[in-house]
Amino acid sequence: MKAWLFTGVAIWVVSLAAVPAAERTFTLPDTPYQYAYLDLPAHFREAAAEKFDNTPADNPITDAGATLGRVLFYDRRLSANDTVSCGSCHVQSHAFVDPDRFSKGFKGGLTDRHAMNLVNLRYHPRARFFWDERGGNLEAMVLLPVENRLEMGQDLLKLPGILAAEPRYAPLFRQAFGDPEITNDRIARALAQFLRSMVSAQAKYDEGRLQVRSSHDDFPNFTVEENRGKALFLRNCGLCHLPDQDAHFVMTEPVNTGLDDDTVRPDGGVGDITLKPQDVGRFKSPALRNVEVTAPYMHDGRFATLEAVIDHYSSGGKNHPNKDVRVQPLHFTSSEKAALIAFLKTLTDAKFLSDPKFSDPFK
Amino acid sequence: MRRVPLLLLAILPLTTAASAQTVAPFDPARPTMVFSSITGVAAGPEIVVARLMTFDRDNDGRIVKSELPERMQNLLAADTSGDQALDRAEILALASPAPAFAAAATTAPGFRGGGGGYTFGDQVSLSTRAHVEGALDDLRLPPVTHQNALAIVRPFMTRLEADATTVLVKELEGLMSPGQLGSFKVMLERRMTGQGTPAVFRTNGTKVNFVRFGPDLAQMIEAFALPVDHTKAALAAFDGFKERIRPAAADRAALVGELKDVLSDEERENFDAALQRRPLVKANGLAGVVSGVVGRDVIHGVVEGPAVFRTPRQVAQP
Repeated sequence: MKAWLFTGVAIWVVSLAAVPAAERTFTLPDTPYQYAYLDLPAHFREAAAEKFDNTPADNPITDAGATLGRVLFYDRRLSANDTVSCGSCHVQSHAFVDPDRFSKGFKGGLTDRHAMNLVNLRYHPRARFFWDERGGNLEAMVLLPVENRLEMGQDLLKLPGILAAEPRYAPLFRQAFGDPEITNDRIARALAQFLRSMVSAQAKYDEGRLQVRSSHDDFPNFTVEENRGKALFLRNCGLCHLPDQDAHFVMTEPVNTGLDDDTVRPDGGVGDITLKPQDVGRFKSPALRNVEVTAPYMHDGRFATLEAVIDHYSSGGKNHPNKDVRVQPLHFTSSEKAALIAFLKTLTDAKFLSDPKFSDPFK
Repeated sequence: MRRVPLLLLAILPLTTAASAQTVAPFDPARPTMVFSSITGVAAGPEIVVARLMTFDRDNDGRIVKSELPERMQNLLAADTSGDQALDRAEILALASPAPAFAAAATTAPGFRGGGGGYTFGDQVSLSTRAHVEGALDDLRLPPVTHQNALAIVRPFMTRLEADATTVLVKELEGLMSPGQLGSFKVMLERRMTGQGTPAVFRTNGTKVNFVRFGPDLAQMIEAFALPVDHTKAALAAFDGFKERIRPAAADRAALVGELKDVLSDEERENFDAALQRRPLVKANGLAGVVSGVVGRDVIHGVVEGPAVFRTPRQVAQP
């Protein structure tokens, strides 16, 4: 019985995937979701936190722009053979990472890095993206995976025409940009608006932070273990992962964390792009919000669990000449590790992970 | 706002607090901050060459576009010989300081990124009490247990510091005059207790942790102009003192042992682990009170961050 049920489900899944992209249709709410206005908690609105916002003056988030971006994000026609969309590898319930270590491209080939999360991209102050920071601000970055020959393989010269064949796009472009013209620039701007609208700010941490004067105070809604973990985090991890404010668990610069001691063979990260010796082995760090659901971890997904990540930092990492001075052996005890993980789980924002305004409209 | 380069920190030996002493001439070559930044040793251009040559699949000494991952293929734009490939010499030139096209990773306008240096938190002050009590605080003990533990930790640290001070003073007695020793003890006491250190809150409620820099005590020893061997011995004594006031393995074991009736085994294990750590702080996130004399100008104000000097009226008062 179970075997039959499994086979049935498998056939249904395969048949879903086999639906040609042009035949899939999207459904949008009569009243657009609210993307432009964000009811942010106070710690996001402090001056030090607001400085992290990378929204350019010429592409502010609008409800119509982000709505269009949402449709584009989940539209498989952005890939060369209509098989994958951005959402194929960036899965909402996993804070928009791929739960698999490496992602399958449009021809089935595997990437060599783990898909980064897309949480709070708006608050990456350097406004540089990808593990090696080769992507400029979101507007410049979003089309790189679309045209990448392994990931989506789309010909950008053809893309506006492909989308124009879908009659429902014209009104969406008109609402977003004033006229129905479809251009790659507008596709990029709409996608960037949608990505910037993905703000996670309603985790247990945020609820607790609102109830106290300082992040160093015990949060009333935390357990003792979570507060212990918070104290350990602030003392030993916050210097890098919560810099100079209380809202954004994001690093302000790429770092070599001593993942490898071999300087030649492993992925060179930023160094492969800049060719600066001091950049070899440096990688962008994703935001820690929702880190509970973004496994596997690191640029190559080498760590399957948070425990493994903390073990790495506890050991102080390997001796790479570019290892950041902040990565020192911390020798956490097992109960300290448990407390740290308990705290990290308070960064999970269940509402964000299931918010319909970020979901696949093609379902 | 009056801005003065951080170089002003170099005037620290001239602080008014030390004005009763004979002051050594300003030596710009000698760092005088009471804490020093931790720096790493970065790799050289040869590792970039070695790394890129791993992509040379046909071993012809040249990297062509098809041999590179797609994300790196833009590197071919730096081909100077026009052969649509990069050889070792070209890569070496690119990897040497300031390659022309490597300026991409810049900080977004208006944002002042991490920058600055880092230092161990326990180097900010001579005393390690804050570190030890912070480690206890992080255990999140019930209030009564916390108080009971503090009742053991504080006297322990007092004993540790007193013992270290006694040894230091004894070692210095034969090396400097009673007057010099008296002055040194006064400054040592101030540095150990943080006496007079102001706590300032910004208008938005955030706290600025001020550090009274005061004189570098090692430089104070040098400023006494003692015989060379006395100076050397006094500096060694002071270095030994700095080691002794940080709980060593035996001290930690003794302290954790004293806490046996107050803390559980797990709590004591966590406390011991926390004492062994040396958490880092951002050096440019610290602030310091500076006062002294440069030439005929009296300097008295506050250094906050890497390059901002404010006179007292420009910062919120406690």
